[in-house]
This record gives sequence, structure tokens and C-alpha cells, in this order.
Amino acid sequence: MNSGKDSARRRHTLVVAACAALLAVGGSAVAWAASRQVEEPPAPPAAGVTADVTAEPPTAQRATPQPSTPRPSTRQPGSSTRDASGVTPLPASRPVAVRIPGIGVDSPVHGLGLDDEGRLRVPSGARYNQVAWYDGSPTPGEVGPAVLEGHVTGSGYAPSVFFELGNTRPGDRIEVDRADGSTAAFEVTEVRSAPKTDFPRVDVYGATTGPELRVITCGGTFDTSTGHHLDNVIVFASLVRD
Amino acid sequence: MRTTRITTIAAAAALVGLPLAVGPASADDHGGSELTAELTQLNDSGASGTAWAKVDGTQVEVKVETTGLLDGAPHAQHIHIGGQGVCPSNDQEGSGFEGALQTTDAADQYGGVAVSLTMEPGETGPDAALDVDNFPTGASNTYSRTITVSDEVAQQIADGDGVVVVHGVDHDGSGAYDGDTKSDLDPSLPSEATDPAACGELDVAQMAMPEGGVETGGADTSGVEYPAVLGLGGLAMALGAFGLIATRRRATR
Repeated sequence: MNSGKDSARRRHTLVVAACAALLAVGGSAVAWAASRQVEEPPAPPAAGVTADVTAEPPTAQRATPQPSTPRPSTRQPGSSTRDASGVTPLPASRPVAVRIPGIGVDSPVHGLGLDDEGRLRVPSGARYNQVAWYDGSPTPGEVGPAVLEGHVTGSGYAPSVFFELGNTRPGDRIEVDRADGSTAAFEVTEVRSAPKTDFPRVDVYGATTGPELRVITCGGTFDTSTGHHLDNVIVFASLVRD
Repeated sequence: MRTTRITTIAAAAALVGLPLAVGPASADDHGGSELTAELTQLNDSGASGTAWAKVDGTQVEVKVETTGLLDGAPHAQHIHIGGQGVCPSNDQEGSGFEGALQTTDAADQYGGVAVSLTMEPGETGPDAALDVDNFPTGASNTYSRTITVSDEVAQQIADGDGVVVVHGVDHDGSGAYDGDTKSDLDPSLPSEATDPAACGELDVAQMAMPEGGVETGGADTSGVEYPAVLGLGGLAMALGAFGLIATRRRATR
């Protein structure tokens, strides 16, 4: 009788202990996961934002005066006042680092090219969380659109270098350190979100009159079947005098 | 012997000279033979768009995207070459309806038609400039075609001398090409059918343009992260709590 009572009590203690352990383990698992919840990366306003409200279409400066053939500056009303042509372009020199103080970005920069399908390669391996420069594009400060890119998120749900890029606003400053020791300073003119399936190639990669910068990352809805975001967030910027 | 050597030198010079003749585009560090244009409105048409071209020998691949045009009406579109190689401004007036700019009014600026950007099976020379059956007819159009041109035209386009002009403006807002003013290009057509609606200068791109966007995303953070951990953790907590309550009940009984 006594031994039966003892074993029942022992069993009861065991069950209580097991249940308490389950509670503790489950609780800490939930707490761990809860501490690792990440917000959605910020997206620019739906219509995009432009510094120049009178420009239409809202893109960076596209007036195209060339030294040989003077072209009428009235061609694109509104965009001529802030034209990058007033800034002296810099000689070619590879970018080595980039800073976007407004969103706390400070990253080394490495060069990347195109893959076999002509698509821009993206940072990988040890440099996954660093900014890359498309080495087929002009160096930042040269005439033309210099192209920088970086990841918005990493594997394991971790935010990457350009997680906050969608929070960039016109007027924000972007500084690019170059191999020759100089720094090219740019000012954001427009922040846009565009579906990858309808990527504005001409606006982003097309010819420009002055030295400009394009900073690209991912955004929008994440397509779990392909493992990619459906949109790109694109920041347009122009070289400014220091 | 001497003549052979001279011929050899001449041949070598020709070979060396050939790549140079491809133009400043290929001499540039970052250049390709790609060109881009931002199309902006003329005649307050409300039209806009982009154009892209790639020159490979005498083959010119052209893409034109337009929006804001009169719907359901043909929009003649061409690559003009000549003049100053520039677009007129939107507020430039001409000899048309209430001072509207007609195509020939700005000929000294963008030159004449060098390539007609018709759809298959339309011809693509200057003679097909008003081939209304083969031009896009939507308010928004995505046009793409590879066209064979002369050596000279290929060279001029590669050099950035081309200007894309899209025609057709509904000045009076009637929803169709009409009105008493006749076209300066073809008196059998109303001027609205041929007046320029949008224009953009094809400039040499400063890079080999990448295809599409960039794949710079790692993982989704829009929903709940680590759902399995959360789920199993929750289940464990529930089981533990249920077990504790059950044993407590039995003990009190």
C-alpha cells in the first residue's frame, strides 16, 4: 500500500517536472523567435518621391546638351535648374566605400559584373552584406549613371546593408570614397519602387548628361516560390559640389 | 616586292582603322552600342515614354515604350536624323491648329525621317513614314523590332545622332484625328494625325545596360519569422500547461 502510494507520488512528481520542462522549453523557444521578428523593409511612397515636383516624367535630369551641339535647355521644363551639368565631373576612379548617413549605411564597395544572361551579379559569400558597384558602369563622379547595389535582407531573416534604403528621401546625401582618395558627394533626387518584371531600364541605366548615381536593392512582396522580392527599390542621385 | 609591302601596310591600316570607325561609343571605356532616349511631350500632348536602341553592324534593335497618347489611333513613329539632332521644346509653337507645332516646323531641329518604326510587316525606310496600317494604335504602346539599315544610318544612330519622334495629337480633344487643318506631310490626312506628340534624343549609354532588375533580397521579413519555432514552442507550452493542470486536478481529488 505504502510502496504503491510512493510510486504514484513519484510518478506525479515526474509528470509535473516533465510538464514544467515543456513549459520552460516552449516558452523560451517562443521568446527566442519573438526576439528575432524583423519588420518589413521600408518602401518608398507608392508614387515614388522626387525632389523636383515640376519635372515630368519624375526622373533624374535628362536634358542632354552635348559640347558639340548646344541643345535647348527648355526641352524639359523644370529639370534644368538643378541640372548636374553645373558640376564638374571627376576623372575615373573605382569606388572603395559608400556612406548614406541618413539611413546609417557605411560599407566597403567591391566591383561586380554581369552573369551569362546579362543580369547584374549580386554580393555573395563573405561580402554578402557589403555594397557592390557594377564595374561596367561609370565610376561614381564620372559622367553617366554609376550603379551601386546591395541586399535588403540576408538568409535567416537578417536585415542586410540596404534594409533601410526605402527610407531614403530626396535631398539625402550619399558619399562615395574613391581609390584615388577623393570623395564624390551625391544628393538624392528621387526614390522609386518598380516591379522587376517592368524594370525601368532606360531611367536607371540609360544615358545621362552629368555624373549621377543609382542605388538599387530589393523590396515589395516576397515571392516564396522563387525566393525573391518582386520589386526593386531604386534611389536616383546627382553629383553635387562639396 | 615593294608593292606587296605597301598593300600589306594598307591592309593592316584598314584593319586597325575599322574598329575606330565604329564610333566614339566603342572607344569609350564603358560604352557599348546601346542608346537611350527619354521621350517628353510636344504640343502639350501629355505623351511620354522611353526608347532604347542597340546597333550591331547594320542591325538596329529598337524598343519604344510610350504612354499618354490618343487611344485607338495610329501613332507614326520614326528615328529622325539630321538638323541639329535635337528635340523642340514642348512650348514651341508652329504653323498648325492654334499655333500647334507641325512635323516640318521642327525639321531643322530633328532632321528628316531615317527609319520608320513600323510593326511587321511594314517597311522601315523613309517611304513608310506614313504607313498608318502598321503603326501602334494604343494610348500606351510597347514596341520592339530589329531593323536593317544602311551603314551610314547605323553609324549615325550609334554616334547618338538619332532622334525618336512619335506623332499623332488630338488637339481639340474630340477623341479622333479630325479638324480642318490638313497635315503638312499628307494633305489627305488631318494635321492631328501627323503632328508630333513626343520626342527624345537617342544618346549613347555610358554602360552595357544590365538585363532587368537585381536580385538583392535574401529572405522575406514581411510575415512571421521562424514560424516553426514559434508553433512548436507554443505547442510545448500548451502541453506542459495542460499536463500541470491535469496533475493538479488529480492531486486535489
